[in-house]
Order: sequence, then structure tokens, then C-alpha cells
Amino acid sequence: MSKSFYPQLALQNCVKNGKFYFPYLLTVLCTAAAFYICEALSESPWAIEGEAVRYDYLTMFMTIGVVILGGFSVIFLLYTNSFLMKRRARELGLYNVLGMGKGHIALVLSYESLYTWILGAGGGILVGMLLQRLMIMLARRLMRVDPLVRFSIVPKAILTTAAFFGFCLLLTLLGNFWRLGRQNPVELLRGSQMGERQPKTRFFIALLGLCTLGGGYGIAVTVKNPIDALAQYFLAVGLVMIGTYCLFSALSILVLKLLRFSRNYYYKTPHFIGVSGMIHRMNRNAVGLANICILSTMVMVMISGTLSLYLGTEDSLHTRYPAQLNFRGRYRLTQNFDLEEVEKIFRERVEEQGAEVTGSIAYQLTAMEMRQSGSTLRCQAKDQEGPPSLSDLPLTTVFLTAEGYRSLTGETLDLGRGELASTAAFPDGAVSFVFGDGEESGRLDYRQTKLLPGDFYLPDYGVMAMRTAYVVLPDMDALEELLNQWNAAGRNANWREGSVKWYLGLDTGADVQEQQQIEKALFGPAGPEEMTDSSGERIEWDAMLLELREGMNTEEYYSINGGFFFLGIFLGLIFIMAMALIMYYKQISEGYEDRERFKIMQQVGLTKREIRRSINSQVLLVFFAPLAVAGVHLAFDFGLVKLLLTLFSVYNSRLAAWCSLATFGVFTLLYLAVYLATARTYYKIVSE
Amino acid sequence: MAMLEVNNLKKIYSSRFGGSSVQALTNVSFSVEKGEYVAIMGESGSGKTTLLNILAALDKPTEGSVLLGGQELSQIRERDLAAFRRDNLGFVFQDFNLLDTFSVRDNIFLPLVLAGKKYDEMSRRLQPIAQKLGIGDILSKFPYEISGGQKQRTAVARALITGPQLILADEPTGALDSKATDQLLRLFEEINAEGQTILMVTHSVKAASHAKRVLFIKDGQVFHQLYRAELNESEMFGRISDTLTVLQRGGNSHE
Repeated sequence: MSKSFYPQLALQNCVKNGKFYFPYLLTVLCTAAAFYICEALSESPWAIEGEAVRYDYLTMFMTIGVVILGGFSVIFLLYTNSFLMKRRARELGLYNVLGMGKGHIALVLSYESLYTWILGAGGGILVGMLLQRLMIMLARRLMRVDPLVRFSIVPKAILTTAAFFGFCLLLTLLGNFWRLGRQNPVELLRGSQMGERQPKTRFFIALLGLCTLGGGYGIAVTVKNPIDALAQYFLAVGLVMIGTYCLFSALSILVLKLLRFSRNYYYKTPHFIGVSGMIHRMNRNAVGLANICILSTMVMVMISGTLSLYLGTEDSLHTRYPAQLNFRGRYRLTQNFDLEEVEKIFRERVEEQGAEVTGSIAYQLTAMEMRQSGSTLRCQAKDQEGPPSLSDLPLTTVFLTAEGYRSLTGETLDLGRGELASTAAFPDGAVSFVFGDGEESGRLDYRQTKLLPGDFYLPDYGVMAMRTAYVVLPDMDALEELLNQWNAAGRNANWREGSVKWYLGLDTGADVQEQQQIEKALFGPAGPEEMTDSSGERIEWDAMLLELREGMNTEEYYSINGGFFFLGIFLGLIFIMAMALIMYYKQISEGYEDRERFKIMQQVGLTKREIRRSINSQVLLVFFAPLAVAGVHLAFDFGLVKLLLTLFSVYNSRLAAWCSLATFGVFTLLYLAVYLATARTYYKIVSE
Repeated sequence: MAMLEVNNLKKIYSSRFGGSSVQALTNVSFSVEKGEYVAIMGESGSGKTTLLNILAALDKPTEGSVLLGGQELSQIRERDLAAFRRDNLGFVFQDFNLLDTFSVRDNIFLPLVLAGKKYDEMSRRLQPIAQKLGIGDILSKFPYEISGGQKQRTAVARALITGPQLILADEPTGALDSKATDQLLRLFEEINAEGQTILMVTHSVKAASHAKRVLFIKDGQVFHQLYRAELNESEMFGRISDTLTVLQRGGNSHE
């Protein structure tokens, strides 16, 4: 036998099995290309002088991407390979019967893997290099960095990709050897036509599916604050994933069998063929369908989430930095500080720099950890023992003045002495603030005259995302009275002295450079330490800082959110490709399966049109079930994502809703396109 | 008038681009009377399957005509064909052609469900047939759970349940062991004795020896035919064997 026999046979096999092999090769190629790009981008040789820090975010994200893609590639290649090998069982059995030893077959398989590696990984790296520049430009555009960069080859990425995919393919090859070793030729010959059994009804799995799915959805519906959402997000995801597998593998069969039980429903032509066909199909395809469903959900969650974050960047910037110039600080009641005076001084100084002040926001507040029982809010002297549990967090109570509230919202609250407004509703409208534990504790009684809208928040506390209540007191005197009570009670309990936090935001007509000039002038050598009030006394405080919204902060936000969005799209595309391939393989295998049934039913007296119609609707249902379930998953997920986004200061749940809807819409179109493309292959096989 | 009349059938398969063509049937004519049990014999490639496909209206002849119960098959519109086949023809195949997705009962019901019959009626029709075929206790099983003989009897039940004019059987014993073969052939005789017309294509001498008449096809033509008349099975077996020997030697006899 000539030396080149086995390599040639291997090549022939690849070409002959083109219908299965080329999609597999394409998968290797695409994942390798994606892996290479991820790896190349994470190496960050494009960091131009001065933007290294900004680029670091992308480097970090792409490193995450490499890890995710790596894990995904291993799983997915094993999956597609096993499909491929099942289809080829007969062919390999034939070789064995015709006198090729298992060693020879293994040799042929090895050559095939080698070709796959050369073409797939090598081609992938080439395609990756072609797309690399485009991807970088896209990433940089999303990150709002100058998109034009030089092309450069990243040797480390090439080597890593080649080695990693070599490893993956070696793994699949070993798997194939193992499979080969276990089978005898007769089994191999029969391999692809083993009779399919009727699925058993697995009540336990169905019940488990109902419970886990219900549990996951339950979490999504009941969780009301972001910290809980973050803590329970992955629990919910895990439950829903388990639930999805159970749903497709057991619950669906249970439902279909119940349908079969109903004679009047079942014994009608379309139902008869459809229901029995689906029971049959579910048995084999449950896992595939669940995979499609979970991949779809993942893609949509990822893209809609990162899209919301990206489009919400301005929102979160405006939340975190309500004005162009943001002054924040803290002072004690014993210090000489007056916000009005300070505002006046800063206004003057800004105008001295030649900029016009076009708007301002100013408010003062003090916050306390309190525990509520009925209409009493108490500041306890002793701290809770042990670590705080999530279910028993104290209520963070933020006290504002009516003046501050007006400055923030533009709404004037008419509050008299002893009256307050709050985002929390107190029973009977009576509120008492109590300081300390014992009889001697201080006490202030208030009446609630107004309930504030629940979506009112301050960035200072919104990000903390604990249970928070906002209380608006009539004026500064009331706020000071409250602090005095705190201080009085605190002297016994060794609390630190309470202080007032203040915020001053100024908008100017200045551009970014001018704003930076102003920042330098205000906090330069003759900084605010020298400020005096109108009576000539020095103004005192504990802390003060100035932050600019525009410039560095905006750039940083876009670097993070843009990079994140890029990663979302990138991984999303890869997952869509994987999904398309799973669908394609499903269509092919179902096509071959249905061809036989198609023939038999025709002989028994079903018209071609009826057969087409019934198979069509069946296939359609089976294919769009994952999408429908993924849509439901996405809807429930939205409840959690909405909360999670507030951790990134995106409070615009309407925007998030639109992003989810748009993602679902676009994804449905893509799904439909993939379906139609693969359905053509199916019909070709069936009508052969 | 004969129940089935086949006149001068000719079938030529040509490749899609008109290159080479194969003549599967040259000139086939015969007729089957109501209540007859006819076997058609011939070697592989003699045109048996083509003939059966044309009789089943699954394929169209190049020339010639087929009349079933006076109805010209080629005159039936495409969309009525399936219903015609369902109502008038019953099929029994070598490899059973049962659907994995249905239980035995549902496999038998299939043509009736397609005809839009109610469950009660289907159930009523099934009862005597199931009893006669001895499959009453496996109705709820699935095809992969039963033996080859049981599968073939299920297929026969499916063919009988519509009360067809003609049963077309394509190598019905091909995949059965000898015991199941005997059972099935006896069953066919019984059904035939009750008045059911059967047309069977086979190359098993044993199967053919149960028929009342045997047609031999060679090179796309009816080459010879044998009537069983008063002969018993083993005599018939001998006659068929002799004829086949002549056929294979390339003789040219016409009785």
C-alpha cells in the first residue's frame, strides 16, 4: 500500500462528507478567528502614548473574552465533533469490515484532524488578521478613541491560537479514538440507524423543571433592590438554565403525552402527525433545543445589557455628576460654613475666569442608619452583633431640606414646622426619630404631609443601593436640630460627631479646556483654604473636592462602557454562529430522519402538500419554541438587569426596556434568517 | 369486467439531461379479477418494483394504462390521488414501513385518521381485524418492541382497515423467518378466501406457491403465467421452480 494512501483517504473523506464536514471546519475557523482577535486585542500593542490607561479597560475585557471563548470552543468543538462522528459511524464500520484495522482508521482520523487544524486554525488566524483592524476600529470608535491605528501582527496571539486549537482538536481526536475502541464493526455499521425509542415520561424531571424555572423567575420578580439582584443573579441564571433543560427534556414530553391522551384532539390529521412527531423529536433533540434556547438567551442578555449600559453612559454621567463642575464636601455644625456663601464665592471665582455660570444645584444632607418599627425610626447606640444579614439591613435614612429638594427637582414643598415629606410611607402619617436605646433617649416627632415619588434618588446613595429612604425636612434649622440630637445621644455611646454633607453643582458655558483652567484656578496654589465669608471670617470644613463631568470622567465612562459593549457584540456574534451551526446540524439530521417517514406516509395515502404542511408546522414549532422560551427568559431577566444597571448609575429603565426589545427584534430576524437558510437544506434532503 | 386491468404498460427512465435511458417495462398487460390472489415473480431488475409503483399510482407509466375498478389511474387528479390510494389500495412492504413515532394501534389507524374518521369508528373497525391477525394484545406497544412477524401483521392490519379493493404486497415475506413467513402466507390465504383481492410481488417461490395465479416477468414483459387451479402447494412449488429454471436458462416459452 502506498505511503500516501491514508493521507489521501483522509482528504477524500473530508470532501465526501462535505455536508457535515465543511460546517465543522467553518466552526473551527470562526472560533479560531474570534479567539485570535480576542487574544490580539488583549495584548494591546495599540496603546498610543497617553491613552494606555484607557486602553487597559479593553485589554481587561478582552482577557475575559479569551477565557470565555476558550471554554466555549472546547465544549462546542466536542459537541459538533460528536455529531459528525455519529453520522460517520457507518462509514467507519464499513472500513473496518473491508479490512482496515482500527489502527488504520485511527491513522485516517488523525490525518483528518491534522487537516482540520491546518485549515481551521490556520485559516482562522488569517481571517482573524484580516478582521483585526476592523475590530479594533470598531472597539475604538465605541470607546470614543481615535479609531485610526496602524496594523500590526501579534506573534503571541498567533502562537496561542494555534496551540490552543491544536489542543482542542487533539482532545476531540482522543474522544474519537475512545469511541472507535468501544465499538465493533457490526455496531459501527448499524450505528446511524439504531431504532429510536419512545421517550419515557419523567415526572420527577418535569417537576424539577417546573420548580427551578419557577424559582428562577420568582427571584427575578420578587427582588427589589440591586444588591439582592447582584447577590442572587447567578443563582437565578443557574436555576433557569436547569429549568430550561428539564423543560425541554421532560416537561414538553409530558405535555405532549397528555395531548396524545385526549382522543378527540389527537386523532385529527395535523395533530396526529404533529404530536407524535414532536414526542419523537423531543426525545432526541431536547438537549439541542435547550442549548439553542440558552445560547439565544445568553446572546440577547449580553447584547441588550451592554447596549443599555453603553447608551446609558450619558445618563450615568449625569447621575454621578449632575453638573459640569461638581463640588462635594462635609462640615461639622461647630465649623463656620454656609453653603450660600460658598456658592457665591465659587460663582465669583468662576466668573473671574471669564466663564458664565448658567445653572446651579445646591443641597445639604445628613444620613443615618436607622431601624424602623411602626412609625418609629431609631438610631441604636450599640451596633448589631455579628455580620449584617441581607434580610436585616438597617434603613439608610437620608435627610434633606426643602430648599435642597427644590434645587434638585425644581419642586417646592410647602412644609411647616414639625412636618416632613418622604419617599417612605409611614403609618398614620406620624414619624418619631429616636436616638439611643434607653429611657433617656432623644426624640423628635414629625408628621408626614407628603409622599415623595419612589424613583427619587441621589447619586451619593443610589450607588450604594442599600435600602434607602429620603426624608425632606422643612429647613436647615430642623436638620441641625436632628444632628444635635444625634450628637447628644452619641456622647454617651461614643459615636463620632455627625456632619453635614453638601453638594454644589455649577454649569458654565465653558468648554472642556476652559473648565480645566477653572479647576486649576480654584484648586491651585491660592486654593479654597483662603476663603472667607462676607463678615471676613475664614470658612471651615472637613473635606472638599471638585470633579469635572466632561473630560477625563466622560472618557473613562466611555472607555469602560464602550469596551464592554464591544465585548458583548463580539461574543454575541460568536454565539449566534454556534447557534446557526447547531440549527444546521439539526435540520440535516431531521431531514434524513423525515425522508423515510415522508415516504411511508405518502404510501399510506397522505398528499405531498399535507405532508409538507404538517412537517413544516412541526419543524417551525420545534424551532421557534427555543426562541419563544428565550424571549420569556429575557423578559424576566429584564427585571434583574434593570436593577443591576442602577449599580452602574443607569436609572433609565425605559431605555433598558427599549434596548431589550430592540435586541429581541434584531435577534428574531437573525434567527429567522438562519432558520430559512437551514430549512432549505432540510427540504432538499426530504424531497430528494 | 376485471377489477384491475393493465394494458400495454411501458416505462422508460431517462436521466435528467436526456442522456442515457433505461427501459424498465417494455410491454406489460394483464388483468386481475375480483377475489383473485396473484403473485408476480421475477428476478431483481426485471421491473417488478416499477410495475408495483405504477399500480400504486406512485409513478406514472410512459405509455399504456392502468384501470382499477374501471377508473383510469392517469385520469385522477394529482391532489385526489392520495385519497384514492387511501380508499382503494392497501400496502404491505418487505420492511414493514411502520412509523416509529406511532404505537401499533396508531400505525393501523393512520389511514383512517387521514381519512378523517372518528375514534369510535376506527376502534370498531380495528377490533375484528386485530383479533383475526392476533395482534390484539400488542396494540399499545411500539414497533421497536415487537417481532418482525408482529410488525408485518400490523402492516397487514393497516392495509386491511380501510377495506381496500386491492392489497398490494411487495416482498411481504422478505424480512421474516420461516415460521413468521408461514403464518403470514396462511393469513393471506384466509383473507383471500374472505374475498379480498391480493396482488403480491415476490421472488420467493414459497410465497408465490400460495397464490392462485403466478405471473412471471422478465426484461420488462410478462413472460409466462401459471394457474394453480387444483394443484396443492407443493405441486405448485414444483411448477414454479421449473418455470424459473426455464426462465433463467433464457427459454422462450409462452403457455
